[in-house]
Amino acid sequence: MQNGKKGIRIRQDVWKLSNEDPWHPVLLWYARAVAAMQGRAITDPTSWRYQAAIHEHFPANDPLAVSGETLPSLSEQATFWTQCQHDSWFFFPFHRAYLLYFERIVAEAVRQLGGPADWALPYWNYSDATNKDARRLPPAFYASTLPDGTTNPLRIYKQTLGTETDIPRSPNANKGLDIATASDVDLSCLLKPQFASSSIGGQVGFGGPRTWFNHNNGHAGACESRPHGTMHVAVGGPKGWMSSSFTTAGLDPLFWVHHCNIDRLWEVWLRRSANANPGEPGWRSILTMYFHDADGKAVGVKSEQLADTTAPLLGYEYEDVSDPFPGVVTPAAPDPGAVPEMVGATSAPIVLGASRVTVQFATTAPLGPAAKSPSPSVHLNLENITAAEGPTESYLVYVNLPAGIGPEDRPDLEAGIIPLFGVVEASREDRGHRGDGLHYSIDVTSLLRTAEWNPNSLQVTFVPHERPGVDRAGVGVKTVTVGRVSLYYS
Amino acid sequence: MRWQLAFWRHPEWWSLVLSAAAWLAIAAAALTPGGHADHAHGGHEAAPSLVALNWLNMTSAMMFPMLIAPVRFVAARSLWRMRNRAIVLFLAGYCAVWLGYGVAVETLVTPQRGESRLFLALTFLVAAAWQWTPLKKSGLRRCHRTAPLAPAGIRASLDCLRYGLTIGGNCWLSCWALMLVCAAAGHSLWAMIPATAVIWMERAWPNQLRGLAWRLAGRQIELAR
Repeated sequence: MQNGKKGIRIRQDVWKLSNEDPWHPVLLWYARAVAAMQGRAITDPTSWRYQAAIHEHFPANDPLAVSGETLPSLSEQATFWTQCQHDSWFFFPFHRAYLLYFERIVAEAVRQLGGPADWALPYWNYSDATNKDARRLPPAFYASTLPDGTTNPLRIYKQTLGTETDIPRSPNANKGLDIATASDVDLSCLLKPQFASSSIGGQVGFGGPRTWFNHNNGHAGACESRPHGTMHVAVGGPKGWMSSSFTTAGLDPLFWVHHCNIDRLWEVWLRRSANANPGEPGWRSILTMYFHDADGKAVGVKSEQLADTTAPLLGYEYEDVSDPFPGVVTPAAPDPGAVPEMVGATSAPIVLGASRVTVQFATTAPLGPAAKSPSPSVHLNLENITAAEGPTESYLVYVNLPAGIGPEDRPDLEAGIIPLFGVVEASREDRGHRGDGLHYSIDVTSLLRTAEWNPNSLQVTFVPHERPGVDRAGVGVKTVTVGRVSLYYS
Repeated sequence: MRWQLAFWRHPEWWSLVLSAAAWLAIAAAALTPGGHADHAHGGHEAAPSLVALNWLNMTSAMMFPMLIAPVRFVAARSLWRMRNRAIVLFLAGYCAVWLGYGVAVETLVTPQRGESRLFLALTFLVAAAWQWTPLKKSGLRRCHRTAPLAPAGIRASLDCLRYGLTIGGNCWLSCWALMLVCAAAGHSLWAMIPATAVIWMERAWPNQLRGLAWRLAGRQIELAR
């Protein structure tokens, strides 16, 4: 759909389209275009597998790999594949550009198939409190067939040997049932007053830490952690393509509508209060990101070219960018030069399994600049989280949860979640991963003001996150190791 | 107060001062008539203390600026009162790796070279070829790898030292060949400057630099003559 006045595309809410018609033309043409792209060779930049490989390609993890198949040259792979930016302030601009050129490729396929000229990617607003189905897949993504009776490529992929298989997802996904909890779709990231995070944690912004090109090393930004990471894992379940593997995430057609919503949330955040993108050249213009346009030609783009979605290069708007927190004032932005100070940490790694695990460590008062701050922010750092193998699942993190009290009885003590999207890959030394695992920072400032807290020690409890339909024991969820838990003032 | 805040924000400041001092010492040696940092030039064996000094200088000058991220990391992961001690222990572990390598190189390799330019050219070729190996890429990737550090006690100190050894080992895997070139060129300023540029650039643009490595290797040969 186009906005006739401005001549720009409108990205629409997938559930509103679906409620209008489960096979709304936007979804039907998406399915047809996906099938067309899946039929192209992986050497074609407009093919489905090539587009997924931009996120990451690791031959051993590629479920569609064919022995002896021709891949693009190593030089081409180095420039265009395994480029996704995570744990970085390039997370948003990279994925915006990734989506943009993918959308152009799909739109071109739609045109070639005889569809409308103004096709635009829909977004999945799983946080929509007015939609009881928000945390379920729209039927077009789990129907077995298209209206004409042919295989639905939004649910089923065709293996190279000719057999057809369901795209691996969470058990509830293809049943049209809830796949996520309210915690998974929490949007408190929108209340972050600053875009950039501290690169060592101890302070977390909406967009992620200042980095160079960074495939997946360091601390996740607030939105990247939740709802981005949580919904990756919720869709995929412990074993699905979206859940933990960067290599397979882009192979699921849901990946793109999920990321379209993440891109929309960037717009929602920018409209709140005085929020703004970073002004530093390090974010605006140093990194050039490379993609292919719909005609297969290579293009390079920088963050500063991606800031305005209505600029000619992008040419789109979202149907709804309303504020989910009307009237809630964004707290004052912290001093960008604030120095996070560690005031206590665990001394030994913590192994997380199927049961609740509690650790306790001594904390002190800050001695550095945070000591002089009238209202320092306090963050929990969860560092060097690794897993030797999958499947893995997420954990909820509680602060000072009394022994013998169930987490469900004290939801007010829930500090956050560690989604663990990509944990196995981040624990491995290859494909741009340095192998030291995932890292999260959780703002516990207001929680510690209200929780029963003895400032000389802190207790942190990890509770396995139970998502609807997921049987952890049944799928053999493996253990995860948290290298260190620490508390920071800044 | 402003200065104090700057020091707090950049706990790596004094390692960069050490690096600048090392560059000055190397430049002074290079620009002094008849003075070359490498007194083993021509096959004479240098005193062990001089070998250690040359390698410590070279490591401080070339590598400390590359360690801004891990130095900030050990500082930020340590209790406030232990930040500088953590940095000292980290750098001690890091330098120990390069000193060990330096002693091995000066004992086993460089005395064999005599006045041969062929030896120097050979080290350039080895360094350029190493840029293309999976091991090189693996070392480069792990140069800024992080590790959990205990917050207090002897365990905190040992963790910082161990972390320095680990990063030093990863850095050695990535840069041993380039450092060999610098040693073979007699710790020449004119070999160290482009080698430092390569080390810096390959961290910023790891995918784009391998082709450039060959061209820089050729240029280094010209410069080092």
